[in-house]
Amino acid sequence: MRRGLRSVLSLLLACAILTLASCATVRPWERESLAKKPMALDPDPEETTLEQLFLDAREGSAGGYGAVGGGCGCN
Amino acid sequence: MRKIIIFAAAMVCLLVSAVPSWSASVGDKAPNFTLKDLAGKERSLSSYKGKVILIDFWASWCPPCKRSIPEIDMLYKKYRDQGFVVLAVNVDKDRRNVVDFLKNIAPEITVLLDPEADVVGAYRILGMPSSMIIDRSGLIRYIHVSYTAETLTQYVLEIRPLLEEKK
Repeated sequence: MRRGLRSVLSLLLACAILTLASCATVRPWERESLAKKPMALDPDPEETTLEQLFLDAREGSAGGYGAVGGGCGCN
Repeated sequence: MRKIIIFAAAMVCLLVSAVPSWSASVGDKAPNFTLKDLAGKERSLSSYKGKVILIDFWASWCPPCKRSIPEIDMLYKKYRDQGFVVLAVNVDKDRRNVVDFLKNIAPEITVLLDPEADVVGAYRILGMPSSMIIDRSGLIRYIHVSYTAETLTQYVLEIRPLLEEKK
């Protein structure tokens, strides 16, 4: 039984190693799809700015909405 | 104990295989390449030997490139008579995107197409856009990753002394 458990654990470990090894880094020149507008965290920054303006006026508060980012990772 | 050693060795092998083998560094000889330009003519880096070369890796989908390409073109027009050359290596998969991008800029720099990413992959750049300045003897002297408001000034400060160096 103990030996069987050890075999199963060894198999799981081997699978984990193989799966982790398949994690690949997206190279800077491969980010064409990531650079597309729908892939950005905020696809329409102008609309968000306008919404934020209305929200600020109504609620009397501002900020707390994170930072810009996503996309191609340029600059 | 033996199993632990085998496991540790396997982990080391996996880590080593994940590390890039070579990336362009300052002081390295710039690897030669041959690519086609927009007109379909083949151009080799080696044919520009003896000149100061700016290799700019760019793409139509890269926002900073909208600024960098016109400014680099301006730089080229200013220093070309002194032996300055720009090779703008584009990595777009679709040539039409490159043509659309350049339509309104009409640059005079040499635009080369690398749709299979053979050259950009060989140089293993760290970001998009990236640029390298190569001296008259073919050595990589400066590497820039990304393009900001200060990059053009930095280019000028680096290129001027290189243009004065002898072959």
